Amino acid sequence: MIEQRNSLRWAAAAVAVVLLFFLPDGCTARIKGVLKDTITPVQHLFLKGGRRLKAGADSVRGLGGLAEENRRLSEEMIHLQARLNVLENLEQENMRLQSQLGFYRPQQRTLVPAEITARTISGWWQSVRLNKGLRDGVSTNRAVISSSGLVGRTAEVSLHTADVLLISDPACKVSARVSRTGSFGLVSGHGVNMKGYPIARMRFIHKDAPVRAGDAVVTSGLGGVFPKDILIGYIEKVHTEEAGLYQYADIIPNAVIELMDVVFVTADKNGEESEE
Amino acid sequence: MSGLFIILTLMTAGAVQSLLPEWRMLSPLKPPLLLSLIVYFSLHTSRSRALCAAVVAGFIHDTFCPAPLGISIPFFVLMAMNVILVRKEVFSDRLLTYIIFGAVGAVLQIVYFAVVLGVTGLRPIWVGALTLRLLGSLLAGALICPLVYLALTQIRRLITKERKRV
Repeated sequence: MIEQRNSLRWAAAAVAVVLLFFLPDGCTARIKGVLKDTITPVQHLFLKGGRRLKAGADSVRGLGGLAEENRRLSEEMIHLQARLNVLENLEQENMRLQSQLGFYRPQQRTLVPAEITARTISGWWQSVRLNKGLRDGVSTNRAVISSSGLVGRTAEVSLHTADVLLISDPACKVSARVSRTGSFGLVSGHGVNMKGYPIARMRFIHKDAPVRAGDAVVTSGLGGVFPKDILIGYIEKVHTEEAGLYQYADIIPNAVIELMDVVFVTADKNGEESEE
Repeated sequence: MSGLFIILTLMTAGAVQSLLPEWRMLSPLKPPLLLSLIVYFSLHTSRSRALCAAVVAGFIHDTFCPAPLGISIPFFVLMAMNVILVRKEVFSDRLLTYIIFGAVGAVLQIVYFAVVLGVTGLRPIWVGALTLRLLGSLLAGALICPLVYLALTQIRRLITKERKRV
């Protein structure tokens, strides 16, 4: 009798697991969101502990060079402040000229700062998790950028977290332009190269476009998800497709290589997102 | 081992596994903490507890990556069932057991995901990268599983000592 009851229980559990595969996408996303929000506090605990340890180790290691570091940072700050003043003047002049020509369009997007709290649990995906979610105005399919360029786009968003597919993930596709030549193409992730660096690939570049290694690749702004002229990375190698119709180029994604702890998610200025 | 201990350990392992840096040279690979825990629980608890732990591990794994929810549950359950099946024949509480189970389990995990993700078209599978990943997982499993065993044995010993003291 007990054995029969046990078998029934196991059968019910197996059916429940199988049913999980047939649930609508929205439903599984909601379950996943609840699970993510439940586990996030545990993750934060470890993250904070790890950061404190690192900070402690850094301070012990850097005690000797602290004065030197301080001097260098002060110099750098003065230099950056001077540069900022020049750029502010240029921006104002640019806006004035654009408005005179009737081209000026006020910036529609605002940036939500978010902290990277985790990376993917398995190596099959190139993704990171942010500590901002729906409650902070982050929604799916939004560009994520850092000071080094384009990081990727948001994929799954729960109340308090957002998963970001990095530009080096094959599922992340961006319409791009080679900055020097203006040639258009489509950038998608290509995993990790033999040196262990994440790479992306730009396809469908015109066969006669004079692109070469070292050229900067930026977002084209087509499609509406990614803002225009955000640096994606630099071309490492250029190839011609077998059929000879197009060229393709391997790209080192700048922001993924130098991934910071803090990134920015694009959102509408009023915080309301429009679904595409 | 209580159910609560198992769930908390799995949650912690999931959180730690996602925070640990990946081994990029191994196409990239994460230390298989969840898998090691399933091996440990399958060798040390009852069949039903080990299978429940496998289901929970599957949920946690899928929560921490963009995979569809439930995709890794069959692997963890099959892994637990296999370890339970052979534990009477091979089990001795020695490091070598964990090295072998860890290495084999990690390789099987890569094979399972390569087949499932490749067949469903969720991920492109490149042969070179897959070979590198298999080699890496063999090493990672053989290294991490005994470490998890040692850590858990120590934690359980401490808990038992504390209980006796109380």
